[in-house]
Amino acid sequence: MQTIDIQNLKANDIIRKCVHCGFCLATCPTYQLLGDELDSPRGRIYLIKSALENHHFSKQSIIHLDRCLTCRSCETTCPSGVEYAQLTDIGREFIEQKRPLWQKVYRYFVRQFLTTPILFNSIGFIFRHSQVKGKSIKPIVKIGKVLLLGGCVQPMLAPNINHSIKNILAKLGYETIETPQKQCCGAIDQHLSASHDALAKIKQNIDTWLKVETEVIISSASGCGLMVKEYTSMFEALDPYYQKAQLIINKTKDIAEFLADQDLSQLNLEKVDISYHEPCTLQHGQQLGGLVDSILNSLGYQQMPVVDSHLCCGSAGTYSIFQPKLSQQLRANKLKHLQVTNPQMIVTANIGCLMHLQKQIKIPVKHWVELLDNQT
Amino acid sequence: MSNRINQLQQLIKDTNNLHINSEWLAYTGVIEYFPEELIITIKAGTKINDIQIQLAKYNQTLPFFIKTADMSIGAAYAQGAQDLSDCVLGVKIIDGTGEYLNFGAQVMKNVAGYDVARLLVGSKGKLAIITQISFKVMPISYMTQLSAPIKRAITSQLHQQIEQKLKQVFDPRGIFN
Amino acid sequence: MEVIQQLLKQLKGIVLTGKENTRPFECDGLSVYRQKPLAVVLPENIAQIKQVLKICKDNNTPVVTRGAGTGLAGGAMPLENSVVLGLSKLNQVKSIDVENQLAVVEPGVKNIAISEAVRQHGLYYAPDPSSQIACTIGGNVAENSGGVHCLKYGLTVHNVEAIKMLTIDGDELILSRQDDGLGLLALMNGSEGLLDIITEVTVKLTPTPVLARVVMAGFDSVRDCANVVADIIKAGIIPAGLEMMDSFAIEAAEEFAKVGYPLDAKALLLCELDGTQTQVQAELDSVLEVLSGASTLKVSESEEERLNFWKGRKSAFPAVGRLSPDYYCMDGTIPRRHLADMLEKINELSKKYQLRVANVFHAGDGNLHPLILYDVNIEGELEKVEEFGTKILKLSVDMGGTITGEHGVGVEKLNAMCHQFNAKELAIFHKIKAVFDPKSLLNPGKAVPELHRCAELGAMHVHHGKLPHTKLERF
Repeated sequence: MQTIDIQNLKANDIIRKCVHCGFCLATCPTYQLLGDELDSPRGRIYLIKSALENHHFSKQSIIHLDRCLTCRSCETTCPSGVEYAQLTDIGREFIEQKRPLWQKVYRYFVRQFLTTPILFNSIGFIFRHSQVKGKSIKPIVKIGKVLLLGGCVQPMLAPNINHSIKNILAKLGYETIETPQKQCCGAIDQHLSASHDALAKIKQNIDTWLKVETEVIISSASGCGLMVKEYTSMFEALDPYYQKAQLIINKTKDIAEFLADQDLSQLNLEKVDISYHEPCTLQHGQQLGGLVDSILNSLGYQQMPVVDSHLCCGSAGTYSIFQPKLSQQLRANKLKHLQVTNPQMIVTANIGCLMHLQKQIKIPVKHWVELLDNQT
Repeated sequence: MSNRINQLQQLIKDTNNLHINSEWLAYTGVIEYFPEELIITIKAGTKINDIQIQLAKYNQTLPFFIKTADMSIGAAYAQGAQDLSDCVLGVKIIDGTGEYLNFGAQVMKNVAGYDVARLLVGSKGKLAIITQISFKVMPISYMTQLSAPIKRAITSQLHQQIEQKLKQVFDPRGIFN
Repeated sequence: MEVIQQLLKQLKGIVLTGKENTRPFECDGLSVYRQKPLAVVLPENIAQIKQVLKICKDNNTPVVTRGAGTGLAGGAMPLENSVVLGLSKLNQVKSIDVENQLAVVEPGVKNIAISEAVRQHGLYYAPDPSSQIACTIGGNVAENSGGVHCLKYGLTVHNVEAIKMLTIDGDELILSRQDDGLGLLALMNGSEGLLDIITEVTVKLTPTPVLARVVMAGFDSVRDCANVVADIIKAGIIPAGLEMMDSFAIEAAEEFAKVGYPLDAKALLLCELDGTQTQVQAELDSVLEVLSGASTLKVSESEEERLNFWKGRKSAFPAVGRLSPDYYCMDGTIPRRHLADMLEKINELSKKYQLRVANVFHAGDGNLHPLILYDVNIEGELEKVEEFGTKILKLSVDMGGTITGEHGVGVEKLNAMCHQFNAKELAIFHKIKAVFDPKSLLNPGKAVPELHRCAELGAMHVHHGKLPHTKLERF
C-alpha cells in the first residue's frame, strides 16, 4: 500500500504541473490520427488522475492508455515541464491489475520472448534484417576502453550495427567491450508494466557494468540508451542503487553523443543519398534532437528537413505488436515524408524503428553508424 | 455629453420617421487623435477630406479605399466596405429608441461583447445613427494600392431575414428609412 | 437522460458519455472553472453536426462547441447538462487557391497547419496566437484570436474571407466579406460560440516576407521599455510584432526555451521587422536608433535564431507554470500611452495583495497579459486573485481600453463586462443573440452577463475614463 501512496504523491506532483494549455494535443501522434482528446496527453493525464483518485478505470480507458506510444513528443512540446512518461508508467502499473487475463498472458509471452535470448534467437533469425558486413578491425593505438550496450534483440536482428560501431571505435583508437544479449536494459519489461522484472534486470546490469573499468558506456539503440539514462527514476533517493545508477548515467552516451566529439575524417563513408528518421527516444526521450543530423551534415550528407519529423514512426517498442492499426498508419505517413527526396537509403538510430520501417519499404533501412564503416 | 447628442436623442424620441444624412446630423470634428497610437476618433459628419488633412500632418492616412473625399465619414461607414470595416475600432450610436450607446473601444484589440462596431458597417442608416467612429490609421509609407470594394447582393432568404431581425434589435419602432 | 439515449442511438461511435470519458472535457485552457457535460460528441461530418443540433434543440439541451480546448477564458467550458460538440475530427484543408491567396479549411484544422499546408506556395496564415501549434481555426474565428503579429497583419477578423455556419436550427448560412449588407461576418468573429456553429472557413493567406528579423532588447526598467514602444511607432514604423516581457516572464520562458534571454533585464522587448531586404534594413536602422538606451541588444542573424527568440515568448504562459502551481491570466487592452502607468499600478497592486505577477504582453497594441501567480490549494488565494484581476480590468476600462483584447469573455470576465457596458448595451447583445438563437441553447450564459448579474454585483459602469454615467439606470 505504501508504494501506491508514494506513486500517488509522485503522480500528484506531475499532474499539478499541467496547466491544461493543450499544446500537447498538437504534437501527439494519436490525437493527430484520432481527433479524440481521450487519445491525447491532456486527456490521458485526466484518465490517470481519475484512476488514481477513484481507483476506477474502465475497459475503455485502458484502450486509450494502451494507444499511447510513449513517444514523449508531448514532453518536448510541454512548456510547463510535465513529465508525462513517468506519469504514464505509474498509470499503466495501476491499470495492469484491471487488464483482462488474456491480455496479461499475451503481453507476458511477448515480453519473455523478446527479452530471453534463448527463446528469441531460436525464432528471431527468421526476422533477421541484415548480416555482418566486412571484417573486424583491431584498434591499433589504444586511447581507452568503452562498454557497448549490445542490446537484447539487436545482435540477432541486425548484428552489423554493433559490428560497425566496434570498427569505428577501433579506428578512433578505442577498444570495445560488448555486453551480452541477456543484459537487457529493462525497457521492454518497464513499458509492459512489469517493473518488478525490469528492476531485477536493472540492478544486475548496474552491478555488472560498474565492474567494467571504463569511462564511457555507449548505446547504439536510442531506446535502450534512454532507459539506462533514466535508471535513477527507478529508485528512491535513499536506495543505495540510486547512487550507483547515477554513476552509470554519468557515463552513458548515445553513439551520436560520443562521435560528435571525435574527429571522423579518417572514416570511410558510404556515398549514398539518405533520409534520416530521428527516433522519438533520441529526440524527445534523450532530448538530443538534431545531433545526428548535424553529424551527418558535417560528413557531407545532404538532407532536406523531413515533414513532421517530430512524430513517431509507430514502432514504439512493442507498440507495433499490440496496436498494429495505428502503428501502420503512422508508418505509412512517416515513409511518405521520408521519401519526398527519393533517397536510396533511410537511416535511423534505433533498432525498433529500423525493423518497423523496413517492413514496408524496399530501399534499405540502416542505422546511421553503418554509413561510417564502409569497407567496399 | 454634448448638446448635439442630447438634441439628437430627443429628436429620435419625438419622431416616427427619419432619414439620416450628414448635413442633418451636423456633428463634425476630430474628437481625439493620437498619432503614436495610430488611432483617430471622429464625429460622423466630418468630411473625409478634413480627416485626411489632419492625418497627413503626421504622415498617416485612413487605410481604406476612398471613392470621394467629399463624403462624410459617417456616410462611408453606412455604405460599408470590407477595408473600411477592417479599421473600425469603436462607435457611438443612438439607436431607434434614442439611447446613446457605445460599442468597441479606442484600442487596437477588443473582443468584449459582440462586434457591433463592425456589424453596423454597411447598415445604410437604417439601424441607428452613428455619431462617432474610432479608426485605426496607418503611416502612408505602409499603404499598398487600394481598390474599390467588390460587393455582392445578398440572395439567401435566411440572410435577409436575419438582417431584418437585426434591424428590429436596433430600431424596434422602425423609424429609420 | 433522454438526450443521451438519442445521441447514443443515432450517432454510434462518436458519442462519449460517463464520468470517466467526459471529465477530460470539463474545462479548456482555463482550468479554474470546471463542469462536466452530459456527453461529448465528436462528429466526422456536417450531417452529424446537424443531427446533434436537432437532438439538442428538441431536448432543450445547451450545446457547447469546442475546438482544441486551448481558450483562456472558459469559452469552451461545458455547462451543466450540456452537450459538448467537439470539432477536432473535421481537420482537413479542403482547397488552396494560390492565385487569390485563399484557403478553404474545416473548423478543426490547427492554425499552424494552414501555414504548413501553403508554405510551398510562399504563403502563410498571418494571425498567430501563442497556442497556434494546437488551437483550431474554428476556435480562432469564434474568439477573434490575435497573436504577436496582429499590429501589422490584423486579427482573425481581418484574415477571414468567408465562413459557412450553421444556426441552431441546422440551417446553413454563408457569410462573406463581399456581402452587401450588415457586417455579419465580423459579428460572427468573436461571438464565442453563442450565435453559430462554424463549419468551414475561407482564410486569407499572406505572402511570406522575404526576410524577417527580430530585435531583442533588454531594459533596466519597465518604464523605459514601455516608453520605447511608443517611440518606435512615433518613428513611423509598424513592426510585424512588438512584444514585451518582465523579469518573471523572462525567467520562466528562458528556463523552457533556453534561447538566451537576458536574465538580469527588468524588461525585454522583442521587435520583429519584416519585408524586403531594403525595407528590413531601413526599419532596423531606425529601430536600433530608438533602442539606443537598451541595456542589451541583439538582432537575430538567422531564421532559426528568429524562431528561437519567439519560442520563449510563445511558451511564456505555460512556462510560468514552472514558477508557480497556478496562474491567472488577464487580457486587458489599454491605449499604449498609458502602458507605463498601468504597469506601475499593477506593481502596486501586486505588493498590496502579496501576489507575484509575471507580465507578458503585446506591447504594440497595448494588449496586456499580467499573469497573477498563486496556489489554488491555499485557502482564499483564488478569491484574492479574482479581486486583484477585477481591479486590473477596471483600470483598463478606466484608461479607455477594454477588459479583453483577444482571449474573450467566456465565463471568466462576465463580471468585468458589467463595468465596460451599461444595461442598455448589454440588452442589445442579448437581443442579437436572440435573433440567431431564440431559445438560447448555444453556449448560453457565456460572453454576455445577464442583467441581473450586473445588478447584483452593484457594478459601477465606467465609460472611458470619465465619471460614472449619471443617467445609468440602477436595478
